[in-house]
Amino acid sequence: MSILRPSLIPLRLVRRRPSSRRGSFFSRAGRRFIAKRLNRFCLWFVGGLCAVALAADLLASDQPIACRVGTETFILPGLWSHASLSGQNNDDILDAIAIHGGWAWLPLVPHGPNKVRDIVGVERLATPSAKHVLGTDDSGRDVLARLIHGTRTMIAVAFGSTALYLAVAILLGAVAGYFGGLVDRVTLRLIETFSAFPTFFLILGIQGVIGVTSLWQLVLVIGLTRWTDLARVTRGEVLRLMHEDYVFAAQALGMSPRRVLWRHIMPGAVGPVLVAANFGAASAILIESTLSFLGFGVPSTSPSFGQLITDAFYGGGNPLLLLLPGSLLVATVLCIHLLGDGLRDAVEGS
Amino acid sequence: MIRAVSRRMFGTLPTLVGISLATFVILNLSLPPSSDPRNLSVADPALIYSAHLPLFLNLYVEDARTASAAALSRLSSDSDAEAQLAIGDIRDMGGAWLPHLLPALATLEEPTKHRLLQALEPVASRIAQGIGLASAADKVAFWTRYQATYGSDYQQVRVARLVQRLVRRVDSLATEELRRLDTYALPQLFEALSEDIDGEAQDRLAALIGTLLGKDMRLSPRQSAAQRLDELSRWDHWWQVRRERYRTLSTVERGFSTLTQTRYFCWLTHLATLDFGMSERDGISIRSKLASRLPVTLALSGLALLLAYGLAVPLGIVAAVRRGSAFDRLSLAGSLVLYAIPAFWTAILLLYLFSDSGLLPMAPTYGTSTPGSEALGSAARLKDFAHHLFLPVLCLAVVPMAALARYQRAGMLQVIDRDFMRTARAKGLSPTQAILRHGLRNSLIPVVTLLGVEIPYLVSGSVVVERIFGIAGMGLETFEAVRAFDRPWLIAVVSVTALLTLLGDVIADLLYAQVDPRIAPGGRSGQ
Repeated sequence: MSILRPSLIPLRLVRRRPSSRRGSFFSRAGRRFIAKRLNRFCLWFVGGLCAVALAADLLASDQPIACRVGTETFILPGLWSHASLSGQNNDDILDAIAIHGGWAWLPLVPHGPNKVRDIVGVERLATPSAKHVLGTDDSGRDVLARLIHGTRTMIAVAFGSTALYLAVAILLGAVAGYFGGLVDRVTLRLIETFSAFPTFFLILGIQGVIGVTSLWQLVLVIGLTRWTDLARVTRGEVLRLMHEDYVFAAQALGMSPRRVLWRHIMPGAVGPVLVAANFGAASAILIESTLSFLGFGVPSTSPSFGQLITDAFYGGGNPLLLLLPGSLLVATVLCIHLLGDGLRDAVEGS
Repeated sequence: MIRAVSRRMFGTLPTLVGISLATFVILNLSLPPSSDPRNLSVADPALIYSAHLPLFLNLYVEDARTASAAALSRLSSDSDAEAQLAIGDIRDMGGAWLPHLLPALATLEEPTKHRLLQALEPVASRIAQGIGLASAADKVAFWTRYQATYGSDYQQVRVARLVQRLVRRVDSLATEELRRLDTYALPQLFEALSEDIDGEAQDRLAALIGTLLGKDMRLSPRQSAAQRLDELSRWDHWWQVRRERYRTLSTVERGFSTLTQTRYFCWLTHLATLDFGMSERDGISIRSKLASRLPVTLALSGLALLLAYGLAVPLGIVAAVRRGSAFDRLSLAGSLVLYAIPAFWTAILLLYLFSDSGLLPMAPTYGTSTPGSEALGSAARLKDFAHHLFLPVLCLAVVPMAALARYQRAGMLQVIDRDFMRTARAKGLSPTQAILRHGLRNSLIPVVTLLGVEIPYLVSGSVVVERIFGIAGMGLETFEAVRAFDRPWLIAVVSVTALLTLLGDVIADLLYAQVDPRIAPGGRSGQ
């Protein structure tokens, strides 16, 4: 081993990089990615959705962002419940302010996604108006508010389940590819077994049998059933990189398998894996919206696009209510696909 | 070819085991905590899937020997209630346990011996011997003599012969001997009953079983065939739950039973026979439901697959040949957009376009047949069916078509500049001829590989499409099942769709080998 060292290190040091290959692999790929207008547009779109998802409570809530009623000041009362404001919506608080004095900073959409307080004054299936910009659904809930909060569900499912199956897939794929032999064979069989189940039937089966009731359970189920493609990709990449000289060198230097795998192999495999994960996120969104459309998705307290579409489709009302969530959904998935294509081109270096 | 097929089939075996294990996990998640199977109803999934057995390895195989030993030890317990229960057990079990109980009789201590004699008294009266003996010593002497005289009769081979005689004709001698063996003969009797025998033999066996169990289990010739079948299945159920305690297993059989008397083995037999019990939603057997629903879904998916390939392959070829043209760019963009549309959204758009109130009312949007079409001729009915399937099939085919068109374009681009294509042009073929004769087959390789991927997609998509268009296939039934927590159907459908996908995979692989001759038949790697 000591014989190897002197010959290896100078070689690396002496060779000068050509100027076009300046920067790390990632910065080069990133530059190529950003250089395209379509990629930039898609990035803005998806980024905007993420921002909306993060700020959903500030954009649409039935309590003010900040307010002062009489002598008391509240900041984000919708998130941290205050005893004195509980159960009150924007209108009630405005009424209180009119009596006791104070001020209120109302969100852009002064309605929550769920709550319909006064049963008497409920406007079911209201047409768009100044009060409800997109109207209300068949239980009188503001559609725009549900749309904004639906974005949050969509993004949560996309990120949550993708993160989950990235973890499972990278772990299994990398270990299988690196160690080979029996581990590899068993993992391959596992992948083959799981990919034999049509995802949707498997998820429906698990749902019917166990009863999935919350957003995070749904994320868990989607994440744990969709990891097979990604594990295959990871394994393939690891197998490919195993034959690279620098991996041999790292092994010859006596590094532990863990170090070789994470420090030397995985960085090279990350590009294709990210591309696959990107498409996986799109399919997670599709699965979630389809489940919600069928009524088996997230509970109605966390609205989702699929739910909005099913409400509009079976509940009647304004066709805009059908078109808007639907096209937003399609646009999101399309953008993620385009991002994936762009990412692939950038990583492959065309 | 046959070797290739069989080798490929053999290669799926580990995956099959994997599928059975995965479905087994789901099954066990659905089963309630195990309870006494004797208290469950016939259709309860916990009974059908033997929830009372251990999962993979049964280290305490129950048979007459172990059960009677357990009863004996309970008999000698200090608790009187416990002993009374054991006495009841022994009385009910009777002859099946005699070969194991009698050898122990002489060595028992006093209270236990008394209890055992008390328990055996009704047995004695059932086998119509030794009745009216008063003192304990006499009873012990009687049972010892009984064992010496008739002990050699307690042999399964002999019982089997007697049962065969009884099945063949009325045989009072055989009946008498079987009666003396008491419940020891039950396993063979029930086995014979479940076989294909004529009605009178069934009556004879049923009457004997009734006497042995002291129950009125009589089949009457007046009952209709359906009633008899119902009655027999009830008995079968009764027997399934209890049979282990009556059988005396040899050492080898006990060895096997550690594997076979388990929940997993039970699940395997159910999976192999596609017997998933009854639906909890409407009590119809799952197998008959599958038989009626599966063909609909398969027809839907098959037609969608045909449509997708039929449209995508020409589209991809034209796009590749006219690379960079407006058509190419348009089809690329179109396929990207179509690929991003979820099936339910396609369905809604199609409905808005083609339904009666839509822009182009041209196809029915619900069900698979027009009401009243049963009266029409078969050709007209087929036409009606096709008309109804138009929109659902289109809806299912959109996404695979978009993906396939892109792959076909890529596949064609790969071969279009190759030397052999230039050679084909040079020898005088027109561009079309060259592409169709030489390019097509080679360009199909990526698309054919995708077949295995598309099948699960189509099967999955059937849930949405069948729900929206009201088609009574697997998808709609699954939709209803999830709503009603119909566990047996869900377990069945998860298993069956997985098996179907596996089959599709095998077919895709074989097709692949047909398209690409470089791939050795049955081999794994390309080139």
